[in-house]
Amino acid sequence: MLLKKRLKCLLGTGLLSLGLIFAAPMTAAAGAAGSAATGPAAVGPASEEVGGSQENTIREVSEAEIDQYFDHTVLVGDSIMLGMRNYAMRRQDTYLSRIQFLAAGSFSVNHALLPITEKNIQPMYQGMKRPVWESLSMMGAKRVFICLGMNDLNISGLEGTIEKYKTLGARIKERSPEIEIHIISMTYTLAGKGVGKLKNDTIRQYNALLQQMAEENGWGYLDMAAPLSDANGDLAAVYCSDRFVHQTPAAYDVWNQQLRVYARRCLEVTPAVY
Amino acid sequence: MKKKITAGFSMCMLAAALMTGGCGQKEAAEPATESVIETEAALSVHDIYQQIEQAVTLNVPLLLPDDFITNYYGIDLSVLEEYVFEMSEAATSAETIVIMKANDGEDTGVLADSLQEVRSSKAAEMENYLPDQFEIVEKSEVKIKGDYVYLVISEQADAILEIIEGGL
Repeated sequence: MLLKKRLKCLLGTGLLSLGLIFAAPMTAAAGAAGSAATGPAAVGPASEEVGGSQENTIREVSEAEIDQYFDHTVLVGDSIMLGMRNYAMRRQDTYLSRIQFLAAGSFSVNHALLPITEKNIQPMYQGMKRPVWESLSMMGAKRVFICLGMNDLNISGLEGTIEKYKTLGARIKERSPEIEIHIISMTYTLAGKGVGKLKNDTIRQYNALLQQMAEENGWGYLDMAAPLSDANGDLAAVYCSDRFVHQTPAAYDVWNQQLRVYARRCLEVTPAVY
Repeated sequence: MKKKITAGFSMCMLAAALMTGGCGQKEAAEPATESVIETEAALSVHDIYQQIEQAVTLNVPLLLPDDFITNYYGIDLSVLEEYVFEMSEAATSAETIVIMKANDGEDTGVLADSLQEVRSSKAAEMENYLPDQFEIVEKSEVKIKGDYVYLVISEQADAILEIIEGGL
């Protein structure tokens, strides 16, 4: 039943990704409008697995249901996610107040797997740094979106980071077997501002690996890079706050919108619960 | 800005001036200085924060919601009489201003420990990424004064601390 649900959600992700593939390249501003942008081709996972299923009926989903989707949802990430957390904090009169965050500047998959020390970086929960899987369990999280890698590529490389990501996912599932895991792609740097492996072509390769990892593990995948990129596949200048990788409130408007589109796609293929 | 109670000793000053009248025109011509007795009535932390906002340009300040303070920093808000918990919205800034007044002075130790965790966590986040911000965190200190516990992480920490300490 759980697997079925996951496949349904993955189909939703696939539809969203296919939508991105077939849409014409657009400007960053158009990307903000929510339909598409340039960037790596996001291939919808698992579409053939559910292609012949009778349960693929797409149903109407209300805005209230989308709001509700984010109850018991936790977003995990680094300083990019910290920006989203701060954006959400300013909008506590919206559904964003339902989302919880485990974010810390410079956080990485590598850090997530290291023991807790004064120097190690881990998001705080209930007054102290804890392993992500422990915090998620304490929070009673039913759904987690993870966006990491920015601080990993220059340390662990692409494949090394993916391996650690899988370990992180496994530890989360071990502690919270029922939790849904969704991976958010890494977003790009401003044109020409990449350093070492933190360059946009490498990030595209990394995102392809993330998507593959998500497919193989029955996790969801949300492409946040494309909607925030310009026609050249770099982080659009209008979304960059520091001439590097960090993002503006306008960028987080796009995050907000993409999260809701993603939730809608997931819910459209999931039977309503009455 | 401390609340001032003014006791006018002008009459005394005037009497003294009259008594020493022939001794020096100059002194007698000068206006009598009004003596002021100051009492140490602390401002509310919100008033103090308002003064900070007026005196210092903060970096996209964001006041943290109660749930956030409790859930993430584990601070029991019920032990506080009043508080201000501000952080910069910019992910690349370590700026943090926290002023808390405990209902009971006995809780200040626990509150200080919580702020020490916040400080330590900020330092770890900034150390290898933003050295200038790390330096600012390193210079910061959790302070206790009476029922108050406060932490200022800012490039303008000296000016902010002066306002806080002047107001408590």
